[in-house]
Amino acid sequence: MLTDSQLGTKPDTQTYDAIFPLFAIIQHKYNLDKPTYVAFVDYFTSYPSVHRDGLSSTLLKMTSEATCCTSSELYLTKLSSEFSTLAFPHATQSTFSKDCQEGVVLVRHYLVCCGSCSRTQSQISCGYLPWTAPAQPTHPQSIHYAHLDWRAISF
Amino acid sequence: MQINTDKTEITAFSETPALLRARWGQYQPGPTMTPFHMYSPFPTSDPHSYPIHEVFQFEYLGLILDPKLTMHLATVEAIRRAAQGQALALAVSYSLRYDKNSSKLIPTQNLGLWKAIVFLRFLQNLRYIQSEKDIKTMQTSLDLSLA
Repeated sequence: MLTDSQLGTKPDTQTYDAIFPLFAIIQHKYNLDKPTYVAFVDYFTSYPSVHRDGLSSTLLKMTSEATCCTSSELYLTKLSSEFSTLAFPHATQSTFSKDCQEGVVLVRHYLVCCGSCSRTQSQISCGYLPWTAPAQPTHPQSIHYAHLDWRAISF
Repeated sequence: MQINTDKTEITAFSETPALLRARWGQYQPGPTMTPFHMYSPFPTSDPHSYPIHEVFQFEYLGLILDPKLTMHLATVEAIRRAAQGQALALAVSYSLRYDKNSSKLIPTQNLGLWKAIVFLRFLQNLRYIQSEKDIKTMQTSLDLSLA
Protein backbone atom coordinates (compact mmCIF):
# COMPACT_ATOMS: atom_id res chain seq x y z
CA MET A 1 0.00 0.00 0.00
CA LEU A 2 1.36 3.40 -0.95
CA THR A 3 0.33 6.30 1.24
CA ASP A 4 -0.16 9.88 0.13
CA SER A 5 3.20 10.73 1.66
CA GLN A 6 4.95 8.33 -0.69
CA LEU A 7 6.85 10.28 -3.31
CA GLY A 8 8.26 8.46 -6.28
CA THR A 9 7.16 5.07 -7.63
CA LYS A 10 3.73 6.65 -8.18
CA PRO A 11 2.42 8.50 -11.24
CA ASP A 12 2.85 12.28 -11.24
CA THR A 13 5.23 12.22 -8.29
CA GLN A 14 8.96 12.34 -7.93
CA THR A 15 11.31 12.10 -4.99
CA TYR A 16 12.44 15.67 -5.54
CA ASP A 17 8.99 16.84 -4.47
CA ALA A 18 10.04 16.20 -0.87
CA ILE A 19 12.14 19.36 -1.01
CA PHE A 20 9.11 21.60 -1.34
CA PRO A 21 7.39 20.79 2.01
CA LEU A 22 10.64 21.35 3.86
CA PHE A 23 11.21 24.60 2.02
CA ALA A 24 7.65 25.77 2.68
CA ILE A 25 7.85 24.98 6.41
CA ILE A 26 11.09 26.91 6.80
CA GLN A 27 9.69 29.90 4.93
CA HIS A 28 6.47 29.83 6.93
CA LYS A 29 8.39 29.86 10.20
CA TYR A 30 10.58 32.63 8.86
CA ASN A 31 7.49 34.74 8.21
CA LEU A 32 6.52 34.20 11.85
CA ASP A 33 10.02 35.27 12.98
CA LYS A 34 10.74 31.84 14.35
CA PRO A 35 13.72 29.62 13.65
CA THR A 36 13.51 26.11 12.28
CA TYR A 37 15.87 23.39 13.40
CA VAL A 38 16.13 20.56 10.93
CA ALA A 39 17.93 17.35 11.79
CA PHE A 40 19.02 15.16 8.94
CA VAL A 41 19.00 11.71 10.49
CA ASP A 42 21.17 9.02 8.99
CA TYR A 43 20.45 5.34 9.58
CA PHE A 44 23.00 2.57 9.81
CA THR A 45 20.83 0.03 8.12
CA SER A 46 20.26 1.70 4.80
CA TYR A 47 23.45 1.68 2.77
CA PRO A 48 26.45 0.57 4.87
CA SER A 49 24.79 -2.55 6.21
CA VAL A 50 24.39 -4.17 2.79
CA HIS A 51 27.16 -6.64 2.07
CA ARG A 52 27.92 -5.35 -1.41
CA ASP A 53 30.97 -7.48 -2.04
CA GLY A 54 28.92 -10.58 -1.37
CA LEU A 55 26.12 -9.34 -3.60
CA SER A 56 28.57 -8.61 -6.40
CA SER A 57 30.15 -12.04 -6.22
CA THR A 58 26.72 -13.68 -6.12
CA LEU A 59 25.56 -11.63 -9.09
CA LEU A 60 28.73 -12.45 -10.99
CA LYS A 61 28.25 -16.14 -10.29
CA MET A 62 24.60 -16.01 -11.34
CA THR A 63 25.48 -14.12 -14.50
CA SER A 64 28.09 -16.65 -15.54
CA GLU A 65 25.62 -19.48 -15.00
CA ALA A 66 22.73 -17.64 -16.58
CA THR A 67 24.58 -17.25 -19.84
CA CYS A 68 24.19 -20.99 -20.31
CA CYS A 69 20.53 -20.84 -19.46
CA THR A 70 19.23 -18.39 -22.02
CA SER A 71 19.02 -20.69 -25.00
CA SER A 72 16.70 -23.21 -23.41
CA GLU A 73 14.08 -21.05 -21.78
CA LEU A 74 11.22 -22.81 -23.50
CA TYR A 75 12.50 -26.14 -22.41
CA LEU A 76 12.91 -24.93 -18.86
CA THR A 77 9.37 -23.59 -18.82
CA LYS A 78 8.15 -27.01 -19.78
CA LEU A 79 10.50 -28.49 -17.25
CA SER A 80 9.25 -26.30 -14.45
CA SER A 81 5.63 -27.30 -15.04
CA GLU A 82 6.54 -30.92 -14.54
CA PHE A 83 8.94 -30.49 -11.76
CA SER A 84 6.45 -31.17 -9.01
CA THR A 85 6.98 -34.86 -9.54
CA LEU A 86 10.72 -34.42 -9.83
CA ALA A 87 10.76 -36.73 -12.79
CA PHE A 88 11.06 -36.51 -16.56
CA PRO A 89 9.89 -39.90 -17.70
CA HIS A 90 9.21 -38.74 -21.25
CA ALA A 91 12.73 -37.37 -21.74
CA THR A 92 15.22 -39.83 -23.00
CA GLN A 93 18.77 -39.77 -21.83
CA SER A 94 20.10 -38.15 -25.00
CA THR A 95 17.60 -35.30 -25.30
CA PHE A 96 17.71 -34.42 -21.66
CA SER A 97 21.45 -34.56 -21.27
CA LYS A 98 21.83 -32.12 -24.16
CA ASP A 99 19.81 -29.48 -22.36
CA CYS A 100 20.60 -30.50 -18.84
CA GLN A 101 23.75 -28.47 -18.62
CA GLU A 102 21.81 -25.40 -19.65
CA GLY A 103 18.97 -26.14 -17.30
CA VAL A 104 20.96 -26.74 -14.20
CA VAL A 105 20.44 -23.22 -12.92
CA LEU A 106 16.68 -23.33 -13.05
CA VAL A 107 16.53 -26.90 -11.88
CA ARG A 108 18.55 -25.93 -8.89
CA HIS A 109 16.20 -23.06 -8.21
CA TYR A 110 13.14 -25.29 -8.30
CA LEU A 111 14.87 -27.84 -6.16
CA VAL A 112 15.12 -25.32 -3.39
CA CYS A 113 11.42 -24.58 -3.66
CA CYS A 114 10.32 -28.19 -3.75
CA GLY A 115 9.67 -29.55 -0.29
CA SER A 116 9.33 -33.21 -1.23
CA CYS A 117 12.60 -33.30 -3.06
CA SER A 118 14.99 -35.97 -1.90
CA ARG A 119 18.02 -34.87 -3.92
CA THR A 120 20.38 -32.26 -2.71
CA GLN A 121 21.42 -29.18 -4.62
CA SER A 122 24.98 -30.42 -5.13
CA GLN A 123 23.78 -33.70 -6.59
CA ILE A 124 21.58 -32.18 -9.27
CA SER A 125 24.09 -29.55 -10.28
CA CYS A 126 26.54 -32.25 -11.35
CA GLY A 127 24.39 -33.21 -14.31
CA TYR A 128 21.54 -35.52 -15.16
CA LEU A 129 20.43 -37.86 -12.44
CA PRO A 130 17.89 -40.53 -13.42
CA TRP A 131 14.65 -40.35 -11.54
CA THR A 132 14.07 -42.91 -8.86
CA ALA A 133 10.92 -43.54 -6.92
CA PRO A 134 10.86 -42.23 -3.36
CA ALA A 135 11.85 -44.80 -0.82
CA GLN A 136 9.02 -46.91 0.54
CA PRO A 137 8.58 -47.40 4.28
CA THR A 138 10.52 -50.37 5.53
CA HIS A 139 8.16 -51.29 8.33
CA PRO A 140 5.29 -53.69 7.70
CA GLN A 141 2.28 -52.28 5.91
CA SER A 142 -0.08 -53.09 8.76
CA ILE A 143 1.94 -50.93 11.11
CA HIS A 144 2.30 -48.24 8.47
CA TYR A 145 -1.44 -47.80 8.10
CA ALA A 146 -2.31 -48.49 11.71
CA HIS A 147 -2.42 -44.85 12.68
CA LEU A 148 -4.91 -44.15 9.91
CA ASP A 149 -7.43 -46.75 11.04
CA TRP A 150 -9.45 -45.04 13.74
CA ARG A 151 -11.46 -48.22 14.28
CA ALA A 152 -8.34 -49.85 15.74
CA ILE A 153 -8.34 -47.36 18.56
CA SER A 154 -10.09 -48.72 21.63
CA PHE A 155 -12.11 -46.28 23.67
CA MET B 1 17.01 0.54 12.56
CA GLN B 2 19.88 2.24 14.30
CA ILE B 3 20.67 5.92 13.97
CA ASN B 4 24.13 6.71 12.74
CA THR B 5 25.16 9.52 15.09
CA ASP B 6 28.38 10.19 13.19
CA LYS B 7 26.56 11.21 10.05
CA THR B 8 23.48 12.77 11.60
CA GLU B 9 23.58 16.54 11.22
CA ILE B 10 21.46 19.49 12.19
CA THR B 11 20.97 22.90 10.65
CA ALA B 12 19.32 25.95 12.16
CA PHE B 13 17.34 27.94 9.61
CA SER B 14 16.51 31.64 9.98
CA GLU B 15 17.94 31.86 13.47
CA THR B 16 18.53 35.33 14.87
CA PRO B 17 21.94 36.19 16.41
CA ALA B 18 20.27 36.59 19.83
CA LEU B 19 18.90 33.06 19.65
CA LEU B 20 22.24 31.76 18.50
CA ARG B 21 23.96 33.35 21.49
CA ALA B 22 21.33 31.97 23.84
CA ARG B 23 21.77 28.53 22.39
CA TRP B 24 25.43 28.60 23.33
CA GLY B 25 24.68 30.38 26.60
CA GLN B 26 21.70 29.85 28.86
CA TYR B 27 20.22 27.02 26.80
CA GLN B 28 23.46 25.08 26.60
CA PRO B 29 22.99 21.70 28.32
CA GLY B 30 26.45 21.80 29.88
CA PRO B 31 29.54 23.98 29.94
CA THR B 32 31.41 21.67 27.61
CA MET B 33 28.46 20.22 25.75
CA THR B 34 27.30 21.26 22.33
CA PRO B 35 23.69 22.48 22.10
CA PHE B 36 22.28 19.52 20.17
CA HIS B 37 22.38 16.02 21.56
CA MET B 38 20.78 12.73 20.88
CA TYR B 39 19.92 10.74 23.96
CA SER B 40 19.84 6.99 24.07
CA PRO B 41 16.55 5.51 25.33
CA PHE B 42 18.46 2.86 27.30
CA PRO B 43 19.88 4.22 30.56
CA THR B 44 22.59 1.59 30.72
CA SER B 45 24.06 2.46 27.33
CA ASP B 46 27.42 4.18 27.39
CA PRO B 47 27.73 6.93 26.31
CA HIS B 48 24.22 8.01 27.18
CA SER B 49 24.14 10.96 24.79
CA TYR B 50 25.68 11.65 21.43
CA PRO B 51 26.44 15.12 20.11
CA ILE B 52 24.89 16.10 16.79
CA HIS B 53 27.09 18.06 14.46
CA GLU B 54 25.75 21.41 13.40
CA VAL B 55 26.44 22.27 9.78
CA PHE B 56 25.87 25.47 7.87
CA GLN B 57 24.97 23.88 4.59
CA PHE B 58 23.33 20.61 3.78
CA GLU B 59 22.63 18.80 0.55
CA TYR B 60 19.12 17.39 0.55
CA LEU B 61 18.07 15.46 -2.56
CA GLY B 62 20.66 17.30 -4.59
CA LEU B 63 19.68 20.77 -3.39
CA ILE B 64 22.13 22.60 -1.13
CA LEU B 65 20.31 24.36 1.69
CA ASP B 66 21.93 27.19 3.63
CA PRO B 67 20.72 28.61 6.97
CA LYS B 68 19.33 31.81 5.49
CA LEU B 69 17.84 30.12 2.42
CA THR B 70 19.61 32.48 0.06
CA MET B 71 20.09 29.47 -2.26
CA HIS B 72 23.29 30.98 -3.55
CA LEU B 73 25.17 27.73 -2.94
CA ALA B 74 22.48 25.82 -4.80
CA THR B 75 22.93 28.15 -7.79
CA VAL B 76 26.68 27.67 -7.82
CA GLU B 77 26.26 23.90 -7.58
CA ALA B 78 23.68 23.84 -10.39
CA ILE B 79 26.01 25.81 -12.66
CA ARG B 80 28.91 23.52 -11.78
CA ARG B 81 26.89 20.41 -12.60
CA ALA B 82 25.64 21.96 -15.82
CA ALA B 83 29.22 22.75 -16.84
CA GLN B 84 30.17 19.18 -16.05
CA GLY B 85 27.29 17.93 -18.18
CA GLN B 86 28.28 20.30 -20.98
CA ALA B 87 31.81 18.89 -20.95
CA LEU B 88 30.40 15.39 -21.12
CA ALA B 89 28.11 16.26 -24.04
CA LEU B 90 31.01 17.85 -25.92
CA ALA B 91 33.22 14.82 -25.26
CA VAL B 92 30.57 12.42 -26.56
CA SER B 93 29.93 14.56 -29.62
CA TYR B 94 33.65 14.90 -30.33
CA SER B 95 34.40 11.21 -29.95
CA LEU B 96 31.51 10.24 -32.22
CA ARG B 97 32.55 12.76 -34.85
CA TYR B 98 36.01 11.20 -35.22
CA ASP B 99 35.00 7.59 -34.69
CA LYS B 100 35.18 5.81 -38.03
CA ASN B 101 32.91 3.01 -36.89
CA SER B 102 29.96 5.23 -36.02
CA SER B 103 28.21 8.17 -37.57
CA LYS B 104 28.42 11.60 -36.00
CA LEU B 105 25.49 13.09 -34.15
CA ILE B 106 23.01 15.13 -36.13
CA PRO B 107 22.05 18.54 -34.62
CA THR B 108 18.76 17.19 -33.27
CA GLN B 109 20.58 14.44 -31.43
CA ASN B 110 23.08 16.95 -30.08
CA LEU B 111 20.22 19.07 -28.80
CA GLY B 112 18.60 16.05 -27.19
CA LEU B 113 21.87 15.20 -25.46
CA TRP B 114 22.18 18.77 -24.22
CA LYS B 115 18.63 18.75 -22.90
CA ALA B 116 19.21 15.48 -21.10
CA ILE B 117 22.38 16.33 -19.21
CA VAL B 118 22.72 20.13 -19.23
CA PHE B 119 19.32 21.77 -19.46
CA LEU B 120 17.99 19.47 -16.75
CA ARG B 121 20.50 20.89 -14.25
CA PHE B 122 19.21 24.41 -14.75
CA LEU B 123 15.55 23.51 -14.45
CA GLN B 124 15.71 20.98 -11.65
CA ASN B 125 15.72 23.34 -8.68
CA LEU B 126 14.91 26.58 -10.43
CA ARG B 127 11.73 27.08 -8.45
CA TYR B 128 13.71 27.43 -5.23
CA ILE B 129 16.07 30.14 -6.47
CA GLN B 130 14.90 33.45 -5.04
CA SER B 131 17.57 36.00 -5.87
CA GLU B 132 17.28 37.73 -9.23
CA LYS B 133 21.04 37.95 -9.42
CA ASP B 134 21.34 34.18 -9.14
CA ILE B 135 18.71 33.68 -11.81
CA LYS B 136 20.55 36.02 -14.15
CA THR B 137 23.76 34.11 -13.48
CA MET B 138 22.02 30.88 -14.37
CA GLN B 139 20.54 32.45 -17.50
CA THR B 140 24.01 33.55 -18.60
CA SER B 141 25.43 30.09 -18.06
CA LEU B 142 22.52 28.60 -19.97
CA ASP B 143 23.13 30.91 -22.91
CA LEU B 144 26.82 30.11 -22.89
CA SER B 145 26.17 26.40 -22.92
CA LEU B 146 24.15 26.81 -26.10
CA ALA B 147 26.73 28.99 -27.80
